[in-house]
Amino acid sequence: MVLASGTHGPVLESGWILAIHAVLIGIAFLLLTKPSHNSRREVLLLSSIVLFTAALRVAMEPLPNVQPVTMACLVVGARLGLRRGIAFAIMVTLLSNMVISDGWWTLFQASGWAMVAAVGAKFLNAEGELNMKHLLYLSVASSLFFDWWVSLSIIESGTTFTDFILYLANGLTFDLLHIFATMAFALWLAPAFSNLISEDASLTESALAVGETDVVLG
Amino acid sequence: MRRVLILLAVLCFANLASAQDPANETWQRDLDNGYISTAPLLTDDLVIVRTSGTWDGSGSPHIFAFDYSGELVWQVENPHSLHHDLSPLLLVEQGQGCGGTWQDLLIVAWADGKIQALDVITGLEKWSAQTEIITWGITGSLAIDSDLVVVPTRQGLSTYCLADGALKQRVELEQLGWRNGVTVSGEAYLLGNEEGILNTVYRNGTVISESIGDGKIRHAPMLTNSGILIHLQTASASEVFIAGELFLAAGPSPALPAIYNDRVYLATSEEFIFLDCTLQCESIGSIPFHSNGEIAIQIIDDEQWKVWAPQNNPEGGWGIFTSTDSWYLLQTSIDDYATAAPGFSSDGSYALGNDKGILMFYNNQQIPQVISQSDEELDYTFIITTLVLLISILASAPAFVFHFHERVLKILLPGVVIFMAFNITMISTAWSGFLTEQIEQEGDWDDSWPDEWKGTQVVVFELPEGEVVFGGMSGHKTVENLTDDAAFRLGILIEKESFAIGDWVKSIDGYEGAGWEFRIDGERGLLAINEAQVGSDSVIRWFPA
Repeated sequence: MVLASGTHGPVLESGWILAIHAVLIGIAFLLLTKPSHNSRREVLLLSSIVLFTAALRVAMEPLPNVQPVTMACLVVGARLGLRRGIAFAIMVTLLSNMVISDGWWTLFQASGWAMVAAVGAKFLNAEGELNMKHLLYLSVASSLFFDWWVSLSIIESGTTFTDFILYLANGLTFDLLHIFATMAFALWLAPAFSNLISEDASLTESALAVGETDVVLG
Repeated sequence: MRRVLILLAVLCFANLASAQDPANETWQRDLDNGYISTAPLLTDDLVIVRTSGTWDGSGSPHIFAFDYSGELVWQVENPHSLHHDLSPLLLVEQGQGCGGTWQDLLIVAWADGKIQALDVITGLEKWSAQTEIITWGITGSLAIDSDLVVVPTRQGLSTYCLADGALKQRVELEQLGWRNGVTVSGEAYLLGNEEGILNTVYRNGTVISESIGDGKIRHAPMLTNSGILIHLQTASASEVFIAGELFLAAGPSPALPAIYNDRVYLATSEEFIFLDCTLQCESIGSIPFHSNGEIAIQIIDDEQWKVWAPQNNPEGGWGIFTSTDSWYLLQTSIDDYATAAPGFSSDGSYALGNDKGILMFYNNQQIPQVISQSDEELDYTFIITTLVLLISILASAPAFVFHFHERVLKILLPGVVIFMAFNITMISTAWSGFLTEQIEQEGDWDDSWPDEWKGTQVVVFELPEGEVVFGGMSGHKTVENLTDDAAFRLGILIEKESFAIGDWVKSIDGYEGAGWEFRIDGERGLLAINEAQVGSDSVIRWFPA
């Protein structure tokens, strides 16, 4: 399974990477099949924000640990709910890692951001405008949590607890950068991003209602 | 008629341009044969350079001779040479003396103790001799004494007739030498060694030994008007002695000093030092610079000269110094660590070689590709991002005064993010250094190692065939620099991979296995090798994952 020790943990054989991809895509597919009334517009909306966020992450890649995906997962989780939030996190990770770098860590990044989306769905899922105060608190917590979660990918048989703590301690400056960047994204982009999704989602729901009525009448 | 004249003029110009002598073109050759650690030599029509070999079985040390158009004329290989081929090449003009006459010769000293005299034009061997091997052979610079070549061997000194290689004098010494170059004075030969002792070997065989200090003498002693100058390498720094007296303290890993017109030039990992020894030596200034290799003088005319020093860090290039307040860095597009001085020809052409094993030739018409930097380089990224940060702080101040907390963050955070993102290497390195200082190290000392390694930097390679260790090093700041130095001295090839977060070792001495990891003083390395900091007495241990 493991080919060598890499910068983010073990380097895997291509078969194992394929298996990880298959599992992640499968989970995203299952999450998106329910509820079953997905309209084309909703598919288009989700695809658009996935593409936009993945492109933004790739564009920001030269800036170390500046991760717009963390803020996006919180907002998408809050606006589109748990299932679509998690699916969004998985798809953005897979898509952007195709360009940036793919491997064992993809599993940790996808699951990490999926949990961030779940947090957004649980604690920010309110009608109307986003609660910026909550969003900022969650930005701090989510960024730190995500970094430490992904750090688990470096653990191997020879890694001691002290090694891991030292690794986390060495990465604190990068964690701080992630936190500040996510807060900045939250302040500058989150309201517009949230409104865009909300408006589009409400249009989708209206269109869906008409469609359902048509079906009932038919 | 006017059009015809213009056409003729254009044709003439084109013809002139196409008729340019190809031998006057700039060129470069990737010798793919290890480091170039000694200055290339330029004769009237040849560029001669030596390489260290790769030591992974794919290439042994070579001498290459190219003509001025870059065509290979001849090459000589020494498949039996050991590591550390650092002895500078020596050109000797034709002459006569003991043993008869000789044509122009190239004298080559090898790390397997062999001395070869080669015909400069053909590369064919004229004569050879063998000196002792104690782990390795000759690594210091040779000297000419009339009709003799003076050879500082691993544990002694030998002189040979230039004409036929007949041994003229042999003196055994007590101490071992490394890069122990020899200097010819009026009545004796001077050479140092790894125990900080200066040996004066008289032509009648008498030896007088004088302890200079607790350190290593790794250059040919220098004759000045104030006495013999020694730049002693100590455990974590260096000391300059003149006439046996301490003259000044300097940074670690001293370079091979140079002297011209009673001006002495010294360098370390921290500075380039100017001394004026016209009457009594006095220090006239220093400039922050990192050079540990050869320093060379380029003579422009009787009154003007330039001093070149290779920059031994990843940025590479050659510092060119004319005075204590005038210098610049010559850089090429293929720079790497550099320890070899340039080679100059009488017509102003010059050749450069670096640790990538790339030889570059510039004719006298060529302006170097990139000349940058005078005095200290300004870090524009840091300056601009700091300005952005300050502006964001100032802009957020009114919001702070009126308690608009969200607005404060909205204005301040982008500035903080920009500052941190563009300076993260500096910030994380400083943080890592701080953490390292706070953590009490377990240490990784092995009692079987020599006591003189204590307090110095040591590298251990746990290779499949056994442990290989090199100690006694100093002045290195990162795991990468320290590992490279140890590997070079041990003749071990390190293959690296570069990632966005830094460099990592892919294979050591050809062994890739499941990857390589390192420990610093017993603690597992957690950063890339070019980021991980080491102390002045750190032990780096490389082991298979």
